[in-house]
Amino acid sequence: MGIWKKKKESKKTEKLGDGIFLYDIKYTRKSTVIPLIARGIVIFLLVIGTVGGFFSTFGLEYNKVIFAAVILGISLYFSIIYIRPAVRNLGYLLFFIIFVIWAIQYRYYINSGFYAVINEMALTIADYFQLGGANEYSEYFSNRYVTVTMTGCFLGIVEALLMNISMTGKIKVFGLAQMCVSVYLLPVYLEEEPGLGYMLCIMAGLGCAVLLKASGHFKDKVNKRKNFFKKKKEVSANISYGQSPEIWMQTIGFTVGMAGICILCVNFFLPQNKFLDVFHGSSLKTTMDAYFLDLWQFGLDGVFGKNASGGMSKGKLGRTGSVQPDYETDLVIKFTPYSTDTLYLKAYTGIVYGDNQWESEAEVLQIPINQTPGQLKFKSETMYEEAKILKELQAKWETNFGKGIFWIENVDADMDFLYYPYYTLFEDYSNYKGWKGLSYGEKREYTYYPMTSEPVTDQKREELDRIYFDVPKKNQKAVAEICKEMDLHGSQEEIIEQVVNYFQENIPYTVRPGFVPKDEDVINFFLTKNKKGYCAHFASSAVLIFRYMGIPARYVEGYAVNYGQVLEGTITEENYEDYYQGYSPLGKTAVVEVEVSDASAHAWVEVFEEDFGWIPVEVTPSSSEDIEDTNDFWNFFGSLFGESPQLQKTEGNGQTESRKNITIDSGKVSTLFLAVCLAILVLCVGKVIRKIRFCNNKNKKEKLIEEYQLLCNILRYLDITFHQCASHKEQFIWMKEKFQVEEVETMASFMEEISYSQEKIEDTIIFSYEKKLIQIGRQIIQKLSLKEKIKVIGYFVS
Amino acid sequence: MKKVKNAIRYLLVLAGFLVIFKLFPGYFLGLMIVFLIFLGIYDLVALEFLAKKMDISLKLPKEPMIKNNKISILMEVQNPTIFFSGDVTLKMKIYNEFYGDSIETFFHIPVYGKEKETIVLPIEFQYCGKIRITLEEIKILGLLGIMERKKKIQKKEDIFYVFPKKMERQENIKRQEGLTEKIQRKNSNCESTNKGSDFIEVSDIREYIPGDRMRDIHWKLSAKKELLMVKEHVNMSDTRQIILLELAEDIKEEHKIMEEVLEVTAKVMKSFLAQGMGFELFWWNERKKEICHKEVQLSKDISKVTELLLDAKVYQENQLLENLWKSKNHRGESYVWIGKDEKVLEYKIIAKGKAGVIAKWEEG
Repeated sequence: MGIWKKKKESKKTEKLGDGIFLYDIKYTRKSTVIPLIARGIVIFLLVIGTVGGFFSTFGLEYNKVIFAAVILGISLYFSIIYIRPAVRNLGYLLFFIIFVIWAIQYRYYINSGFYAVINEMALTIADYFQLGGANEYSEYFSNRYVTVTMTGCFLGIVEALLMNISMTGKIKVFGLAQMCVSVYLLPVYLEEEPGLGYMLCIMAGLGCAVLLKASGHFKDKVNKRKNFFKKKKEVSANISYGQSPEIWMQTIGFTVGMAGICILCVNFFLPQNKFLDVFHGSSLKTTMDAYFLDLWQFGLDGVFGKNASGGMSKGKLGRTGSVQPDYETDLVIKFTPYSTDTLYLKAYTGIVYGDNQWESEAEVLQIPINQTPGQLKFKSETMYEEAKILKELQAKWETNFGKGIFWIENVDADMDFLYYPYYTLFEDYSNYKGWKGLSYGEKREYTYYPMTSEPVTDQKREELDRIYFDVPKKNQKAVAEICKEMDLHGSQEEIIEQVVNYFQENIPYTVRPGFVPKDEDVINFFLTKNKKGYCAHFASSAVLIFRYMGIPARYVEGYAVNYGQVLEGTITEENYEDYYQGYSPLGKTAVVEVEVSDASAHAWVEVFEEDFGWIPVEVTPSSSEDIEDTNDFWNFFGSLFGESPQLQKTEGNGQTESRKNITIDSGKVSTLFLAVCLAILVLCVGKVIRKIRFCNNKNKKEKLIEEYQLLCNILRYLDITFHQCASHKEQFIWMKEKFQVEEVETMASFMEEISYSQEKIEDTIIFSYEKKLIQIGRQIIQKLSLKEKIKVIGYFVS
Repeated sequence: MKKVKNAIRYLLVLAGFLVIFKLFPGYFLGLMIVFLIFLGIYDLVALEFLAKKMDISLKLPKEPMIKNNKISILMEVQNPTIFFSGDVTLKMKIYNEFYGDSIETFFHIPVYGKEKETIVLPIEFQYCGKIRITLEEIKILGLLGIMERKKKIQKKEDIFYVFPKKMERQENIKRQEGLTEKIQRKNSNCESTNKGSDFIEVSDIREYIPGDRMRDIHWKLSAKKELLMVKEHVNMSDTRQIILLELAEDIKEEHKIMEEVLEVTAKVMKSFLAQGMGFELFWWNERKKEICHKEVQLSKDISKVTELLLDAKVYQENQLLENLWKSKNHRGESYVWIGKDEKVLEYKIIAKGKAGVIAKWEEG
């Protein structure tokens, strides 16, 4: 009978009617273990189908053998510990200890695997919506084969735990279906399908759950009810069969077979690749696409109309908790790459900081838009002097300096700005409509003079306005403290380097720094409390730090196009010479057309060098946090796959390359501990299985004798005085005196009879006495103190 | 209700997949829908086959069944098909003809594909009677738990008797007989101090003749008369012994009293036989509406007469048989009446039960 019958063992009989009693029904196939194993197999099918299938939809590679072995092991473990309540409690405890240790120990690998899954998911979404790029999480390890396997195991174990709970007692079909199918909603939405094998697993697993639930084979109950429609004294009773091993096995076999046939039939008539030709997406899905895109790009705020997109903030640091670019093309540029350095397209210049935002020169000077600007200020912002110097140098030394043509089209960028490269010389500063910016679809051509060599000039720049040295009072204390902490000293270049290094080492880059508390200044909060942020925070803080240290600086926003993006651009047929003249560190290159998305929007700093003028300075660090662990278990683990975990160089926001090493204190001790725990687990499971096998032995007589011996051994282990009892009678009397157990006389005589008599005794009689013995055992256990109970556990373990 | 629940569950799962498929068509969802529909079709087909081919039969133990003892009824489920069902409901009716009680029991059992399952039902009957076990019908539930088919069973019915406990074991009977002999010997050794409590009566006192047993000497009288006098006994086995069994039971009462009547009867019958006395048992057969009787000379006849008794049915009117007996001109005959004692009578009670059941000696 099923395992649940154990709970009812204390009841001798069930009353069927007046004067008629039914003892425990006996079946030919009575096994407690097989239904549990079968349940484990169903859970295995469901978990493999769900987690493995989900990974397969995104084309993630992982070690399927190890994953399957882990899931099978854990599924069987979870189901088999239900053999006894005590085993179950101990089993869960042991599992949680090992699981937590394992998860903490290898959290970076698991995390990295998660990031790999999310990144692949993001890429798939980007492909589906034809987005230019995706916001990628930085993975700690490049060896996805290991990390995804680890993450798969982690997810699978958690899912197996939840599914086992759902499969226990009343099978919760909807719960199971929800756990399995909800995972597939996203891939299905994105028109990605799992492998056929995974489909088979999930279909068979869910099919089993539905069928077993329908047959009621999950429980063992005896319900009695009065049948009021019958005459008096006529009562009816329902006697339900428990968990039948054969039915479990036949159901699994049937559902697997049926799912296989089903897949073959469907595949025969309508192959997978032609399926979507027949079944098109609904109009509702098309509508949903827009919402989904908003949700994906901007989160819930995007769905409910609160745009929190990336792109430029026009100096407004505000209280944005995160930046989420939409990866749509903002600009299209065409030029000849002359350097591997990042190409900065300047748009906005912030001069004065206050109330969590920068104000531009136009704003400071109260110059109305679309009116003739103050030429000097415009020249200052667009670095007219610097461009002029470079133009002169280029004319003088063509072998050191170059001149380029830069072609730009505004697709979806802010129309208030021009987006020009360093150092652009505009045609007419006196009558220039520059303050207005590029309107959508407007194309423009700039002539620029890149700083390909150190500009050597003996002319001194006129003294700068004091506004470039201004640090607001509100920020002075925080800036002074950070300057002290940074221990800034030396020349201008040295101070800049120290600030950059400090940021790199101490303040991590993130696009989700969280919200700034009300009444808190963004820069102060960033520097003193939050200690994390994105480019605008770094650039703004750096400007104030530089100014505090006496270096004229200003805040700049625009687009930063790294060399990688340039390489991904489209090479045009146009002549190099039409776009570039003079010296280029890269030599003669092609004319490249690059689409620049809002993910490239960036903020940086300009500092003023006395002998030249404004130059851009990158202060935003990389976002990566690499982990180096070279001598731990995972090198060995990785070698099993024929690969070893490698560190990955990651780029922050596309600007710089760096790495930060975090060492895992793995230690051999913890690995050893884990191994010991596993060994104990294997031993315990082995013992339990042996015990279960024994309990299911067909020879009832021997089984009862063996059970009695086990009880005696435990009692001897607990109390040495039990040794003095020579006969069954004495032993039972001892139990009666010590534990107040009942029915000792009949038990003693029966045990003597079956121990010494060769006569055949009916199984039903042995069965009833076995129940009595179990009851005696329970009575004894109930009377044991906590210490003695622990001793008993120790006995079983030893 | 269970079928409705299962149908709702199945339809909800199917509808859920259909809705998701309608919104986001995909191969996986399409397969799931086809799979669920396949399951439904399979369920229909399998159920038909299963209902045609499967069979269930009952097997009862051959040895006599004694009340309060566990007996094992075997249910054999045979299924030659490859189809299986997780829930087959077997409606079994257990009818005690003696008391007129019946109960219906529903056994929910699994039926395996191409397998034979034997299910042992260890049942204990607390009341005696003629038990008729009827397999009324079996209902086969489909795999999805939505559809059900009824099936007729070939071997429908089995009848057996549940005997009183006093007839439990042969060795017990023998022991009981041995005990009665001892009592008899004891009673024959000394004069009973309580008249009516034994069956050995002193018929005469006469002078001692050599060869008389010493234990028959009436010492008190011999001392008075200064002559050895001996008691002469008369054995009741020389006369026709009649037992009237009153199978009357108040409808408000439980069967405890009737059970005791049967127990006392068994005890008295065995005592008679143990003393070598044959007897004739009379009882009122409510079914036939007549007085039935059976002569018992040997202990093996006890089970036969008990079966005949249990073929009858309990009735409500107490002392119905005794009154009928008296009215049919049997006034001159002595008899033992066994039944529920309702009055304070000065009968010679020869056996007594705990619940007020007596076996009384009524002299003719």
